[in-house]
Order: sequence, then structure tokens, then C-alpha cells
Amino acid sequence: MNQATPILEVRDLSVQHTVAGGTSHEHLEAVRQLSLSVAAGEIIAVVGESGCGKSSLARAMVGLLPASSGEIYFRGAAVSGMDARARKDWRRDTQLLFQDPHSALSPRRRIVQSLAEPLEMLGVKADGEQQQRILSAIAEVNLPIDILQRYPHQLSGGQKQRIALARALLCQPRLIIADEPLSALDVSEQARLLSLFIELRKEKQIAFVLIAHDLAVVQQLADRVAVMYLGRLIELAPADSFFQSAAHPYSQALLQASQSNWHNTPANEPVLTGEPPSALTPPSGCVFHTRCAQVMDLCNRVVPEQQVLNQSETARGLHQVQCHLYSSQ
Amino acid sequence: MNPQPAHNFPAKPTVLSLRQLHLTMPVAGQVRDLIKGIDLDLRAGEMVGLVGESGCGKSLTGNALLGLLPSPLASVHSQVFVLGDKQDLAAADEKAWRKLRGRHLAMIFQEPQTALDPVFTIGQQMVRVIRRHVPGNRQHALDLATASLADCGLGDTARILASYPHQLSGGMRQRAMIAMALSCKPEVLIADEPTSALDISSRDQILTLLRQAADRHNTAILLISHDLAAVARVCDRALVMYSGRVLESGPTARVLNQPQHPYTAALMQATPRISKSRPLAVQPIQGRVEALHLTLPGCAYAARCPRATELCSQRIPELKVSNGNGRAVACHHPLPGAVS
Repeated sequence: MNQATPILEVRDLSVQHTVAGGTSHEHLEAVRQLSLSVAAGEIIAVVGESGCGKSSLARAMVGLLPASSGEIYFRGAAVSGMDARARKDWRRDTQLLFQDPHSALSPRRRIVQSLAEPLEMLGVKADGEQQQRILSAIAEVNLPIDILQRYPHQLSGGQKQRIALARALLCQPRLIIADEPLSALDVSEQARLLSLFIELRKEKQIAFVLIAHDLAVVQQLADRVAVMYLGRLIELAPADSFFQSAAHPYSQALLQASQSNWHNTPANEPVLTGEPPSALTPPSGCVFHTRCAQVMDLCNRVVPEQQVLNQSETARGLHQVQCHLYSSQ
Repeated sequence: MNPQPAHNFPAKPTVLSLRQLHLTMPVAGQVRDLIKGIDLDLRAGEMVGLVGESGCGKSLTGNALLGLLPSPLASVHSQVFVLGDKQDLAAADEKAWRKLRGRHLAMIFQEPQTALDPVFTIGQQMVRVIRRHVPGNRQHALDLATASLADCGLGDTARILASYPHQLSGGMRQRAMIAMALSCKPEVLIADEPTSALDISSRDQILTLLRQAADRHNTAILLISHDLAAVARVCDRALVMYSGRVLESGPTARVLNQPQHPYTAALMQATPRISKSRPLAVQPIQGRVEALHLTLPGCAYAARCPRATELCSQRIPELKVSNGNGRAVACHHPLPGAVS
């Protein structure tokens, strides 16, 4: 990737949710001091279990959730210092795609109305140009024109997701943040959307932040993989390097859980037992130590620092991990 | 605890067989066939995967096995034998089904949130199910519920029993659901997309749990899923469905790795698989699934099939036993399905 200014960069980003208790309010740190940058045309996959903070990260990246500390930079400019106009550019250039396309489309509007709305927001009035742009967006996601006059309930899940993608494309975004866009679809729809993402990146240099839990899908798409656990970024690696030699014990467990026995060898015991601890009371030291198979004395006392693994520098960046196994003694 | 290898299934008794399942529905004044004749056998302790794209009729088949067909749907000439007892799917009344459901046949669904009652605790719901089928007092039912939860890897049973469904995470709810389904030790469990709403670690745990139920309690499990990786992970046999028919069946590893039906091959090419080096790019399946109620003179997959000839759109291929190994395929031009 290039060394130019990243499209989006988050530095030491934290996102907090307030959880209403009986008498008091507690703070849940969904994302904790996370740094990540997305280059133009790059696909970064963010993976982790439910509740690891990946959706909170996605929402913060488009400004739907406020950062409690840290900063988000869009094309090098800090989002917090933006005036209304620059903010509007950021919101236009960064589009969000949800897991459930059904709830993202209004059930009472025809598809064409749902597609016209963002254009009207951008000041493209209902005329020839609007129609032209809608038609080309529909063509881009490989859907027939007659779909425009239908209602969402007349479409399959995959078609709805492609409409949601077409709507995002109408804004000519530089970055699409996709929160589990494929997990509600069946295999063949999934494959269709996968190839569409790859095409869009190639032809339009659109960058993607892909929130996902299916590592097989991630390997198809991603240039880099970011692994989150209880709000922390515990590993960040170029995809090749990640799938060849994931470093963090948690990443290794996720990979093992995703492997299937295509050759009918006996199924393994589950590699990750139990569930992540509560994010309200995260464990001391390394947050993963309560489930880690390679836990050491040090792990429940000291928070591991970010380590850069040896000889890991490739064109796509460094392989970084937060784990005591790799600490330089 | 390792699962049984795929090859030694003939020794186990058949606990459920389905003969010629036909489901019909009136469409625009005409009675149309949605499910066009399915045979299925489940043996004790066996896990069978039923796979296919959305809309191929896999969930309809699962629901029919429990007599849960929605109202305009009707079954004709279909029979199901549970433990050798014949049930005519068309004629059986609700009373007959109630005796079977929960006790001999159980089902779990994709979204346990909607299958569990939000206003009762897990304990109340489990006790109610158990007391319906097993003689004994409340305490006895509670003991059985506790044992079943523990068996499903939910250690803190007292807390789980006292919890309402919303107080549990998705993975725990699905475990509780399975514990409830298994509490009366049914011979057959139908699992309809039990892992699609779960993340990767919960998915892995639930699949292992189902495999253990099959191995330890000899439960026969029908896993309905579009997730080929899940089926490959735990199932002994796989059935591939398309447009209300079975196109291919056989031992899982053979069916998925050396498919004989071009549709199975296309499904596999559309499924991403993790590899240490650069993975093969997935190939979407061309075209789309026709509506289930259309009656075609030939193979329903012909319009999308790269191997299709004129014959394919004229005559429906029969499901025929192909080459020993318990395999069968319904195709005029099957792939060789290389013998390893």
C-alpha cells in the first residue's frame, strides 16, 4: 500500500457506553485505546467474538457513537475540529453497511425511493441526473432495473444487501464500513457479494473496514486482519502473515475454531471454552488470560505491550501483537 | 470423546424414516408441489446434514417431521416412521403429534430468543416440558433439568434455571434451548440452522455439543444448515437439497470433497475455505433459485448447470444409488466423484 495519508485513522480511540444500574451508572469501555489506520483501497477485517467491541468501533468510525477519548482523523484532519461542512464530507465519503439489510430499508418505500433519498440529501434533484445515477448504481451491484419499483419484502436477503450497497455507492464513498454484511446470507449470495466487494475495490479504489466473524470470508477479502478482544486490539497483521502464523493464542484459537474437517477426521473439542468475561469488569493484566491455554504468572498482573514481530515487515505493514509470549525479555 | 467414523453406521437401528414426503400448497387456484418426494432415514447416534440454498425446502422438511406445517400446506401420501411406529403425515392429528413431540422428537431453531418464552424463567419452561412427558413430581423434573443443563456445558445450573431468556447471551440461550430439547432424551433432534446467529466460538461449541449428544446419548440429529463448513465438521452423512428434491446424498466427506452432482460442486466452490497459503477465490453460482412451486418437466438445476443438455430440461433425473459407499445422485450427467 502507499505511504500517502490514510483515508481514516483512529488514534488511541476509546468508546464508552453507560450502563444503567439499580442506583448508579456504570461505564463499559467497549473500545479501549485502539489505533488503526485504513489506506485508500485497502480492506481491513476486524474480527472477534460477540461483545468484543467491533460494532462500537465501526459506529465510532462513522460518527454514530462519540469517542470518549482519542481522535479520529479523516484524510488527515481531526474529526473533532471539523466544521459542519467538512463533517458533511466525512459522513458522505464514509458509508456504513449493516448486517440486516431488511431493517436498513424502509418497508413502506419502493426501492427507487430509498435510493433517491441520499441523492436528494446531496442536492441531486429528481431529474435526469438522479435517474442516471440510480440506474448505474443498480447496474454496479448486478441487479435488474425492474427491482426499482418493488418493496423490500419482495426481495431476497442478498438482493436487499446489494440494494443497501447500491445506496452507499450513490454517495461515491472512499470508505465503506461493513458490519457483518455477509453473515445473514446463504453461501451463494455470500459469494456474489464477496466478488462484488473485490470488484469495487479494484475499480473504484474504495477502502473497506469489514467487521466479520467468519475467518474463511475474511481470508477471501482482507489485506490486513485486526483481532479484537474485550475492546482491545490484540493483534494486527497482514492477511498472509495472519493466516500463516497468527501469533496471539486467541487468534490461533479463532482460526482453529473456523477450520472445518473437510476430510472427516474426528471433530475437535472446542478450542475456546466459555464466554468472554464481562466488559464491565475486564480481567487484570492481559484481558485474555482467563481463557488462555498458554497463560503465565505475568499475564494476570501486567498488561502486555504492543510488540512488532521480527521479519514481519511486508508491503502491507507490520505484524503486531499484544502478548507476553512475544515480549523481549 | 471422538465421534464415530462415518463408515460404521449400518449397525445402528433406524429411529426415523420418512417416505415420499410431498408437500403441496394451493397457488392461484392450483395445487402445487413444493416438496416433491423426499426419503430420509436417520439412525441412532447419526448426524445427517441437510444442506442447500435459501428456499430449497430444507426447513419445510424439518417442520414436516414434527407435524409443524403452516396451514395452507398439506402433505400427501407421506409417512414417517418414528421408532417403527407409523404416522401418516397427512392424517395424524394434533393429539398424536403431541405424544411424539418433546418426548421422541425434538427441535431447536436458529433464534432461541424467539423459541423461548420471554416471561418465564428457563427453569419454569424446562420443568413444564419435562413434566408433560416424564412421570414424577416437580423436584424430579427439576433434577432432570439440572442434569440436562450440566450435560450441555452450562456449569452454573442454579443461576441458569432462575434466569429469563434475555439475561443469557446468544450462545448460552442456544445451549439452554438444546438442554431443554434433550431433557426428555428424545431419539431424534431436528436442528434448524442452530448456529447461523452465533459467532465463531459459540458456533464451534454448539456443534461440538450436538456431536456429543449423538455420541453419548445415541440421539439421531438432522442438522439443517446452509453452512457447509458446519456440516463438514460434525455430520456423518449429507443430503443436498434443491427445489424440493434431494440431488445428492452420501457420507459427508465424499459428498463434499468429491461431489457427483454439479450443484454440490458449485456450492463447494461458493464456500470460502481457510488455507495457510492464498485461498482459492470463491465462485458464485450462476443464476438464481426458481420459486419452489414451479413444476418443471426436467431437472430444476438445469438452467444454472454448466453440464446441462437437452435431456436435462425434458426429464427429471431420479435419485439413484451411484457406486456403493452409500452414495446416491440425481443427475443425467454426474461428475465422476473421483474415488480416493
